[in-house]
Amino acid sequence: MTDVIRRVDRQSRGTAVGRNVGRLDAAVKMSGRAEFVGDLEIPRMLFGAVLRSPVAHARIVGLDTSEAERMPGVVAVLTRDDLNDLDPFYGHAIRDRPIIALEKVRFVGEPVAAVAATTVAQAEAAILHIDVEYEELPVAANIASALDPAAPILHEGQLRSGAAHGLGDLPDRVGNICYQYAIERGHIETTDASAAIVIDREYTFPAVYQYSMETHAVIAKYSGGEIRLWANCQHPFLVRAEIAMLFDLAIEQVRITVPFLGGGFGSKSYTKMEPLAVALARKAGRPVKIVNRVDESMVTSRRHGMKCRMRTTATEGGRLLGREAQFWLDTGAYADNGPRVTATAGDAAPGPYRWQAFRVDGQCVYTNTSPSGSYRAFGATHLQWIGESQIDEVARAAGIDPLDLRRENLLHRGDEIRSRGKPLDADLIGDVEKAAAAIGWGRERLANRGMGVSVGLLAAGAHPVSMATVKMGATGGVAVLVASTEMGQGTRTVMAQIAAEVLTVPFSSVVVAGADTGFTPYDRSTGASRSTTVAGLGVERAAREVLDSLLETAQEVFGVEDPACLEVRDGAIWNGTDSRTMAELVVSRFGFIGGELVGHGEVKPESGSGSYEEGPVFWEVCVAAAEVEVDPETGVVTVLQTATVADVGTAINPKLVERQDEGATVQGLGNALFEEMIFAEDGNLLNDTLLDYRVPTTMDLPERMTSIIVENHDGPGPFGAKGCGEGAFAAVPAAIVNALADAGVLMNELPLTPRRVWQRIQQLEHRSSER
Amino acid sequence: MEEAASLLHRFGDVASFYAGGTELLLVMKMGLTDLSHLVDLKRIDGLRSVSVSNGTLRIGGAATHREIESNPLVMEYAPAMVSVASRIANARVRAVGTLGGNLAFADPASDPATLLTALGACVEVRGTGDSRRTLPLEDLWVGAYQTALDHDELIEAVTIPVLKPGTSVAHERMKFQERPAITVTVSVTAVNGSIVDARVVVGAVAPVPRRLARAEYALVGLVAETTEAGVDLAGDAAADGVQLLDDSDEAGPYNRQLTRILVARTARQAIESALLV
Ligand SMILES: Cc1cc2nc3c(=O)[nH]c(=O)nc-3n(C[C@H](O)[C@H](O)[C@H](O)COP(=O)(O)OP(=O)(O)OC[C@H]3O[C@@H](n4cnc5c(N)ncnc54)[C@H](O)[C@@H]3O)c2cc1C
Repeated sequence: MTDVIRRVDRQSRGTAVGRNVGRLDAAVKMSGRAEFVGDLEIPRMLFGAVLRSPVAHARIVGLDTSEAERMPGVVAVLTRDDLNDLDPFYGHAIRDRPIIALEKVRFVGEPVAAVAATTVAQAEAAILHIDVEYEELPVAANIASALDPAAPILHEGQLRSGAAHGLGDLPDRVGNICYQYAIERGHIETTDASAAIVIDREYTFPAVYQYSMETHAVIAKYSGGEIRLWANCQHPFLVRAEIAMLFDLAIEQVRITVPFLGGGFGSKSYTKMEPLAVALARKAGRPVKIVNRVDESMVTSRRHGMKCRMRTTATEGGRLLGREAQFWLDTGAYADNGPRVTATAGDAAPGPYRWQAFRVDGQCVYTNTSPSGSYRAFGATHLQWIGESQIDEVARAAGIDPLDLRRENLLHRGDEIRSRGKPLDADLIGDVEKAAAAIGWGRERLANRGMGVSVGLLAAGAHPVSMATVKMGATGGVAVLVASTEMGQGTRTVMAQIAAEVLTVPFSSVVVAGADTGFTPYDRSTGASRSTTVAGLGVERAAREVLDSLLETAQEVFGVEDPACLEVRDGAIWNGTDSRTMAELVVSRFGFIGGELVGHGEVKPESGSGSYEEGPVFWEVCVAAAEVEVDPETGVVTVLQTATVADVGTAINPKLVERQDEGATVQGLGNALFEEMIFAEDGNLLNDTLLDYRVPTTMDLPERMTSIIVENHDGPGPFGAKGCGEGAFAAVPAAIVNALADAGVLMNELPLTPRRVWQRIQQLEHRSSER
Repeated sequence: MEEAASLLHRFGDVASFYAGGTELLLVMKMGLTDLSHLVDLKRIDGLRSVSVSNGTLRIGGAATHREIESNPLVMEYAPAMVSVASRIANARVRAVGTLGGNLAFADPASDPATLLTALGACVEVRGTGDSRRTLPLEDLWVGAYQTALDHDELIEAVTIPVLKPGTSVAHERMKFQERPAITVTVSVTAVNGSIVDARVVVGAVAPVPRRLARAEYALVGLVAETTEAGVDLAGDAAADGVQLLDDSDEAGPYNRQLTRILVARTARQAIESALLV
């Protein structure tokens, strides 16, 4: 049962902010009327099917499409030969990925050809009649084999950096290492002198799939030097830029419309199926729709698997001294968001503690498997369970309560986290104490049960550039144009609340539509917990501009000099007891029932360039506690309860904040307990169906999930808000791992499948019987 | 029924019976078969009915798991079947998936096959023309995904004999993915506070659910005081005797451990309830 504790008193506010208004999109979704890309049809539209490579690494020595071209309903077959007039490489971080395989394939599932036909069945039938001859190459299907000196090299030639990674100059590729990120503070060597406790271990983290219910889907139309896309992308403006670059058009000649998304979680961030769809539509001369099957989406994006070695030192009394971490992320055949994930993982490696010194070295490695990109709380989820597990080991070795050890060693508000960057803007000790209290920390221990807490930070906000437009018409209705993608998180609802609050109008009078790059103003992306904070601030500013226009007209109407005499309340402007509704003011401004007030809101870096090093916009806390029970005979781990902390500054919609943390908790639980993409040595993904790749269901929910909202009104967003939704994902697996260790089973490999846990118990028993 | 069988006969390998389609469609989607004809069994008269004669329960081959779990006759004559049917898969699969489809597909991860083997159930099989035969469940499956059925033979019904007085049945499973990782049924008969007959069947970890004689032997003769030790011995015997589908170094020891633990737990449960009455 979900049970929600609100610990901070809410100060009463206006009409909308802080209220649990229902989701704007609930009714259309519940009644099946909401439109997703898969539902859309446009005139003369064809259906695309993709022929994917059956081998992980090979040279394409023959490609014959003649038979497929003669199949019924087939309009076009796209191959590498159709791209000769383009520079066909894309990638926002590294331009390493061709629209379709050129001379080589690098993973099982890589598109080799695509067919556009009148029906889906015809397109699918035709791809079976394309003949491809492969000359197989040696395969490096995992990190170890990709780092072997004798490994096959996936990418040759000069590294070309993409346009939107925000990582400065990318270092050169070395062998299969596509990116490296290193940080160092103090002199790690000197910390060893006073170290009495040394924890040094290796860890393994699985590749997992973001599994959103809706797969990748896109409709592309290429005509008259213009490209139109209807795509379920999280970052339409970044996709627009890449498509324009690929097809050599001006950015304004590319227009992307984003309807509802059936979930994203990062799987739909940056460019995915769009270039292929555009190339196919260009060849066909007609619009084409491509909708992935689940197994196709599983090889379109996933989370990086990882190997890590970490070493933590502390004094006998449990004062933390130094930490070293080395890790290798498996980014698959193409970089996708690997460099950014590597940097974020690197930043998460030390954890928010007062170290004397630390040294982190992260490498992003190409392998012959499907590409890895973003997934909710990337990087932080990879490293937090490892770092926090070592913190608990230190506590056990020192004989100190893990919570006390954290009280002693955690960073405080205002402490520096990384040089040049934003200092800590949250009360981590207070947050973790709340989480611990919620699960009954300190309660008497029962056999086979354990409790754990975890604390971390995630750089949130990405590049702080977002615009919004708010319009008010002559009937007083409000339209918000903002490009945040509604993917189930409730962003349209929150944007409506922000506009309603500023204008003091009823929430129900605000309309928020989806992104259309032709009309909605620029928004960098939907991800990094940034929409409410960054785009929301744009909405607040845009609404204030509308309000300024209303006040201007009201001054004229009431004949007052000083706008401070006027009061804005209940959708009207008051001069003492005299008032005009906003609709009346719009009408008097334009002299007839028409016209529109338009406000623009712009968010840009407050100072500097807004770069990653100078950031983040805010630190998202990753704090959780968990209680687990382990069955030592079967290795089955049951999560009894969890508590998470959403330190959101101001909760614009508390219920939505809670739903975010609950969703992240459940995904974190899946990642920790059973989700794992299993690649064979030959690069084949062995569990590419939901029968074999299990995602959590309601049956997996803990008995009790507590979602704690902390409101200190200290965020940089509208009304003191800061984002949420990712932190719990990083924190929950770590809390579960710590709880399991508290129950006696220290694990260094995820997921915690029953077999793995049982094997570990056997090992531990074996060791203790030898002693 | 004859018509269905003869259609299969006529079209040969490119034809298949089709009931709920929960397995067949997966196989077709994966491109593992190339079928051009599906013979729908769901609307054949009587193929979904449940009846009782001389105490023997008869469940039609095309009865869905949902129909079975909610049928009063099944509840009365084979309550274990109700509890098993109600735990299979999920509501979507139970609504359309059938008992006959489950048995004919012979996926090792089958709850009903494990239970029915322990209950001594039989399948009534119908082929082309007048051909009919009855097979004990133990003879139906010859290996993983392999049955003794001819291509044109369909499962018309499953018959479950009455339980001997004093018999208790327990079925347990562990599920880490969609399908169970292990299924165990233990059936014991008690007379005067002592176990006189036992059946122990283990499925899912094995290619075919099989009775494990040494585990059964360990249970016979147990009384309340000896149950704890006895069920552990049965677990050990089952772990020794089970023939594993995956006996690799990586998976084998764990699969044996699951067998050991689940047989002991299921046996304890069956014995406790048998000795109560
Ligand atoms: C997600 C999922 C979870 C599952 N979990 C479980 C579980 O927990 N426990 C468990 O025991 N099972 C489980 N199953 C299996 C499930 O019980 C079977 O899928 C279902 O019973 C099959 O019946 P059907 O009518 O859909 O068969 P179909 O798919 O229609 O047919 C399967 C095969 O049997 C043949 N066939 C069908 N009916 C007959 C007949 N009367 N005579 C001869 N041949 C026939 C068909 O030709 C085909 O080859 C699961 C399945 C899925 C998909």
